[in-house]
Amino acid sequence: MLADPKLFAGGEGAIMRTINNDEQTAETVGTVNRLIMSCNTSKESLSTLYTMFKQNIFALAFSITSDYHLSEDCVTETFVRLSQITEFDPRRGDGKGFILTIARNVALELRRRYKRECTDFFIQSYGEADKTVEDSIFINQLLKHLNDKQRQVVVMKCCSDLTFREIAKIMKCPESTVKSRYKKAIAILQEKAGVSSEG
Amino acid sequence: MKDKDFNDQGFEKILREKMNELSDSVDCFDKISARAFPQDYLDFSDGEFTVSDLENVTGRKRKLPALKWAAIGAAAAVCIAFVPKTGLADRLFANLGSSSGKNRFRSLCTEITELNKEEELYFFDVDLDVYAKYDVLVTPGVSCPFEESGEEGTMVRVFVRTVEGVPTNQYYAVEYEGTYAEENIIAAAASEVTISKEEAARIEEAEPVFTYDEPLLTETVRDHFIASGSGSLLDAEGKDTAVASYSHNAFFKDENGIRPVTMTVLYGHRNIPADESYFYDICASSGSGNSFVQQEDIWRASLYYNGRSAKPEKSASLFTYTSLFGSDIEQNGDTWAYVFPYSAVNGRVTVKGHAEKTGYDLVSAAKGNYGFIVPAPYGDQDGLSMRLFFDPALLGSIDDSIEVYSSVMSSPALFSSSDASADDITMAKWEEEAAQAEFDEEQQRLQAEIEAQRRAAAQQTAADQHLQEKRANEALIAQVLSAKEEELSRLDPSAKG
Repeated sequence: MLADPKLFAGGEGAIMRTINNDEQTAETVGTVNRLIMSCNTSKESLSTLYTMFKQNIFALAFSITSDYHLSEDCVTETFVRLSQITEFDPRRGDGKGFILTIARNVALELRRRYKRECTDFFIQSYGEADKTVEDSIFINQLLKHLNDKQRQVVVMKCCSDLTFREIAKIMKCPESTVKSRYKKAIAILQEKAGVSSEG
Repeated sequence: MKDKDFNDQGFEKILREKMNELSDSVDCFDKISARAFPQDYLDFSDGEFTVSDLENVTGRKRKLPALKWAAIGAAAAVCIAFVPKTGLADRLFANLGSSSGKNRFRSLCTEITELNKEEELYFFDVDLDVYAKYDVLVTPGVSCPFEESGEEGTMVRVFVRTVEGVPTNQYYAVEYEGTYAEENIIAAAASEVTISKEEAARIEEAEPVFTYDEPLLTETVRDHFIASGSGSLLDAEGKDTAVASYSHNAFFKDENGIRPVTMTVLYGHRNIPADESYFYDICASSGSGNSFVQQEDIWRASLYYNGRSAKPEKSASLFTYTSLFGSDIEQNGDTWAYVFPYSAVNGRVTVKGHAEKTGYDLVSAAKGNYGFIVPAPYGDQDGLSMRLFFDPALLGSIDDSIEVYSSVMSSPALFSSSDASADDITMAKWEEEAAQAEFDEEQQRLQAEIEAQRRAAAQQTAADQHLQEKRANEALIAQVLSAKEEELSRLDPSAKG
């Protein structure tokens, strides 16, 4: 995907500004790392992280669970776990990747638990508001032809503006695999769109 | 979904917009904050209408807080003391009080880390689904502590306490996603048994000896499986069965102390369409005799990171316990044979030097149209003790061989009767055949030598004959030359002298 001007982390408010990749690397990584290190004692840091990453975490969780409420729970659980981190080593990588790795693990576990508790996984919940229901169904319809991993790659690429390398790190697989999954996903979506519109 | 929009604008943009709209409606920071900073939410001192304040308004005397907590503590102690120690109660306690569950989870992780630092644990990684289904082949006598994930890439790191390099029945296990790292840990488990340093030292001083009941294994196979004569082994119901075994040495601690035990696992696979099944039996041999055991839940705790119990409600193992070693059934089967498919070559565990065994592996054996397949023990050391049983008829003559494959082999390793062991009658037959073959070979060698000598003699005769002919020819030529010279001198007297 050719990136549009980057909105940092898909966030909002003061954080939502246009910056180039180099600045993002240098500036935001340091900021996020500092916030992670302080969020176990500072509610303000946690709040800032929440504002910055809520959308990314929700999107990734939704791509895994296909469920509004589970994704919301995933956002909650991810930040709670983040607030319990006492020893974060910034040298281990960028904080954004760290947060999304936690989010992915939480989402996978919630999905697993949800699958066990429900007999029919395909009855997803879509929230209460009409708009929420509409958006949820729309996204699930859009992504329904993709497999689990393709959905995750596409969402991380499109909604979180992550590079293939960053996605590979989160998904713990080679960068080339991520690229091929993304390429395959695009091809499937284009093919399905073409078939639908022709039909 | 509007396909027109999809085509015109590109799905990336649509997806981003819709996802942003959806996530905008999420508002859970208060919930996060309440859980992350509970102290800020427990302080009601600024509120005007707390129960305590109301009580004071009524003029009732406040009870001492210490008394209240003591009463709660006593009630809890009574509950714990009188609730029966069942699996259900364990699960309830594991699920109740998430903070205590989390603490237990953390203490489990710390215990593993500390022991691992002291290098008293060895570990191996196994796919969770493989472990859950083939637990008999991964940790004999010990069931999988985690429920199946159904997720690709969920792994378990199994830690085993060792004494003098020999495993014990003190186990730990950690379930994780992707690569093994703190942030990827999903659940952890620890066995009931813990062996102290003093106990470990006593084992080392005692110079333990492992006993192994070899005859019991082969007799059990003989009694329970009949060689059909056409290649297959048949069980009591006449079903075609692949049979294998392996052994596992360990120091086993229970209420009677610590002793060296050899676990012999006899297992098999009935690969019948619509009736595929696995079975096993385990014989634990020690100095005090044999006992027959099943896969057992030995785990004192198995917890997710959030404190919930991670134990499966029901075992997902493919293997069903079948009493074989202790059963009195005797069939008419009197023949058996086996090979050790794996061997160590230059420190690598392979099937006759072919590709290296790595964890989960399937071993298949085939001859002609007949073949069978059976999973191998997970560990390399256990793999070396694996025996693959078969009908000796597969090796009916000295030239016969069976083709053995592991999962990663593209060409077979050939096993003949010289690689196999069998019952006495079959072994005698094989030895006789081998002796006959040796005799035949010697005969052939002698015959070949005689033939060679004959050929050499014939060649010599031919050469002599050739020499004589050559000499006769030379004499004849000399005679002719002499006659020609005389004739020449008669025709030209001047040429003379």
